[in-house]
Amino acid sequence: MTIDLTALPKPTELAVPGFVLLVLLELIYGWRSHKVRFEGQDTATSLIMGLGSTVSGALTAGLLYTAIIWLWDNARLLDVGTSLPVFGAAFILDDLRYYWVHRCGHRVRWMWAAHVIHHSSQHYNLSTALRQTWTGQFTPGVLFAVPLVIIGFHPAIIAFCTGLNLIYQFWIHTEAIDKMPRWFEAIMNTPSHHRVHHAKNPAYLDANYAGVFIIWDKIFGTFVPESDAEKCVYGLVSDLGTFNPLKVAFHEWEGIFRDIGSAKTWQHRLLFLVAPPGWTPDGSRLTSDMIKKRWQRLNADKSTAE
Amino acid sequence: MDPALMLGSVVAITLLALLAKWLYPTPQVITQTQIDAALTLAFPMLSDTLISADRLTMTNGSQLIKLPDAVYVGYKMGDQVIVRKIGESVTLSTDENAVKIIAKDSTAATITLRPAQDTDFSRIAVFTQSALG
Repeated sequence: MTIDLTALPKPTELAVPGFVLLVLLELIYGWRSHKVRFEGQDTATSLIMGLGSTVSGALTAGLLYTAIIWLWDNARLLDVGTSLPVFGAAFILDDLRYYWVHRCGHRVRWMWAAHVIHHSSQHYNLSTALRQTWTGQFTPGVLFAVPLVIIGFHPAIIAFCTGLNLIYQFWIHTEAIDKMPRWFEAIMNTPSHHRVHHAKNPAYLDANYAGVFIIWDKIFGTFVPESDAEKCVYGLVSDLGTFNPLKVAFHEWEGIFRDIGSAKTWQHRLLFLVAPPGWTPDGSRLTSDMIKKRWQRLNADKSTAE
Repeated sequence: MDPALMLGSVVAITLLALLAKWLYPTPQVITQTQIDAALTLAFPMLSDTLISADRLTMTNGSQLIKLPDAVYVGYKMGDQVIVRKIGESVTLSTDENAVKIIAKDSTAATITLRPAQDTDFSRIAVFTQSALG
């Protein structure tokens, strides 16, 4: 069985009514039960960021798709076809691609400048899932799809799988669900796993990058389970303190340009772009590694004192 | 994107945002976002500007801290900054009953630290309303 690529829907567009309905239900559920935390302005900002992301994506999609189709026409090694098993393989490999692009999104400041938007809310609810970047197209993240095209997966299949991946990730942005069945938690990304990813507690930094399958984190050593003893605190290690969508969208880019402008050497300029967020030549700011080490040292000192 | 779907999405999301603001109005009390903004502004290098741990070696006792018009106290549990407002009664009991402002006049307050088990008071800060912007 082969699938007609021209008939493939755009999953995220079709899912918008579902997104809206589920956010509405969670808003009402949180209001009645107080089990989910919202802040009106924060939710409004998340929704505006979501709309802006759709617009910015639409504006640049044509250019990106043209480039990737050129790659498909000129650089692919194989054509793996359009059968159902190919779609299954593409979905799994695209999720692996997502893991790495997401991991780099946290570890390379250039990519973090786009992804930080998604982590800028101090709340964790379904509206946070919609708080998406306006500038992801201007980072090297787009290059992570290149190997799949060269292997022989048609760009339309990759785009379709990426859409499904994003839809899956929507429902895991909630505090309304505690834990899923154990077998599910073992294989799939879940609200519990993703809460850890959005937490700024030192114990939880740089963990659980998975999109759909949590197994990637387990394979590559970045899995951290949610602990009852360590309640998740959401947001950035240095929170923005603003609901202004323009500041939310561009603050890290502004920071990069400012740092590059004041850097004294070309090496420093490059590192301000590609080193982990928080890197400075004199160590005057904290990277997530430094925060974690300091936290581990505090714990070790405490253990010694006891 | 289909124009009708786009327009419908914009309308639906606008209504949703308005509903969110109606159901969850910004509280008159200071929000965590404002506190974090103030901390970022007032203490860009938090660990350096907060009173250092060696000045708070007494973790079970009282310490007088100069407190001109200060209304908020922040402390760190591990690396996590927690900020609580000092109420009109000038007493503050945290969720963990760990920090208590037991007396305050116009220039000073006595802060008593009563650490709960496993609470690590490595840093503490007191800051003003004006710092909160």
